[in-house]
Amino acid sequence: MQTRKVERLTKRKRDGTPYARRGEVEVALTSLVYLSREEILERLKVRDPTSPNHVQSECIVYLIRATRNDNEERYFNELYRELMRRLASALPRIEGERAGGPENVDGADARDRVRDIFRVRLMEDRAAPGSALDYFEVMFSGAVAALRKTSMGRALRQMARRDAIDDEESGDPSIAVEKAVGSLDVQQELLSDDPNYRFKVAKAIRTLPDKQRRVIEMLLQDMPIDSIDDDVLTIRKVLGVKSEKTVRNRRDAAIATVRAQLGIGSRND
Amino acid sequence: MTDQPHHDAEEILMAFAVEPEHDRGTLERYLRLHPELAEDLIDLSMELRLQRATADISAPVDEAWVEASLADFHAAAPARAAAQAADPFAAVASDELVTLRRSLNVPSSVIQGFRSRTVDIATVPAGFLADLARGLRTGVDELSAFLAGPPRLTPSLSYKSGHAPSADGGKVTFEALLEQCRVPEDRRRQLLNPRD
Repeated sequence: MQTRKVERLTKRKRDGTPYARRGEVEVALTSLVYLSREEILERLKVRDPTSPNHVQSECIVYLIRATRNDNEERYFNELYRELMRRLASALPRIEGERAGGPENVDGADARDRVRDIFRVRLMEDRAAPGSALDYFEVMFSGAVAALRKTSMGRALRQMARRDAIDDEESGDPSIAVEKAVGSLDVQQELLSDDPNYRFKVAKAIRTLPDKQRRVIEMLLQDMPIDSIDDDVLTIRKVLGVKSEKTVRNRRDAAIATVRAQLGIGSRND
Repeated sequence: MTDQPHHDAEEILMAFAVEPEHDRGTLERYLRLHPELAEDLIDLSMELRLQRATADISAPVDEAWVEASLADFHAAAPARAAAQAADPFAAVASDELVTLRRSLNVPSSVIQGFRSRTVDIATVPAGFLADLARGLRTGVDELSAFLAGPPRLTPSLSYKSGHAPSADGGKVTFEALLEQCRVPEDRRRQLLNPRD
């Protein structure tokens, strides 16, 4: 039987070591390359990610790049369509973004921008094999998120300056905010068994002002707000603010907003 | 190169995004190495967290959005293939180009019109195209594929910036090219109507 080899990635990390696909992706590819195109197209119809026949997005990127030298349009088109569906799924939903805020303004644009950049990268990869798409074979959804971030970075940074948030260096949080804060374990909320609830939590976090959301992320990473030890990387240092009070104010405002969006502790409940 | 920092930033964010773990250790390592990207790294870290939390929630995909991209891909592919076609002028030395223009009895600016793909290939008589291809030691098909690409600056005029200006306007007819290059009328007529 003819041996079909899965090509290695050529992208290298900053330390010079090559990127490698995840183990499960390599295993899946090793068997996928022996399937006929018809069989692969059948596999693409499997939408349940827990099915053993489900084709991982990283594999679809490999397969479509491998069509570089042929002209079987139907096969290419189906791979392309499925890849675009995966791309869309990896991007945040538009309706989950802040009304009138920067992410809503840029939501649809960003989705289109990521899609168009990916298309151009794929065209370039077909014309002259490169390594720009290698990231998408390592971690597809992560690479899509990174592409989205870089594609909209400038627009968002400009809009972010308009964010009006209560984070004066020395001011205490308003009584209303303080009352609303209560306690909220965002980590646990994101682990809820109820997918709809998790979606609501994610939506509430995405709609936070950037400065507040960043504090929440660093807290979720267990980074300390402040420390007397200069070697410890603290949230205050990363944000470049003078007072830890600023960090706490942002945290409290963020939690109050998330609680309100989730209907926790609202007087109108 | 104004694009370089942006390119570097993308490489760093991509590298972070495809890390096997996105725990405190990973985030802190990137924050210490790239403090200038702190906001982007934290935003991305949160986005990856939210992606993981909602990965199992499927939503219907806008198929029109998918089809539009596929159509864009196919619409752009032929033009791109032409733009990527091998440059038959690349392997020809300048003294050979002088010999070629003499044998074709045209000024060097006419050759430049082909080299920069300014001329509309559909307006070039087949005989002239064949002579030019022969002089460039390539085939008519290869030369045609190259000429089908968009106008470009000739290598000697290329800019180092990432924003090199493109050739002005669209393509010109072979006849217009000959006129612009002040080819004498008799010779022009011969080139345009080789059987006369």
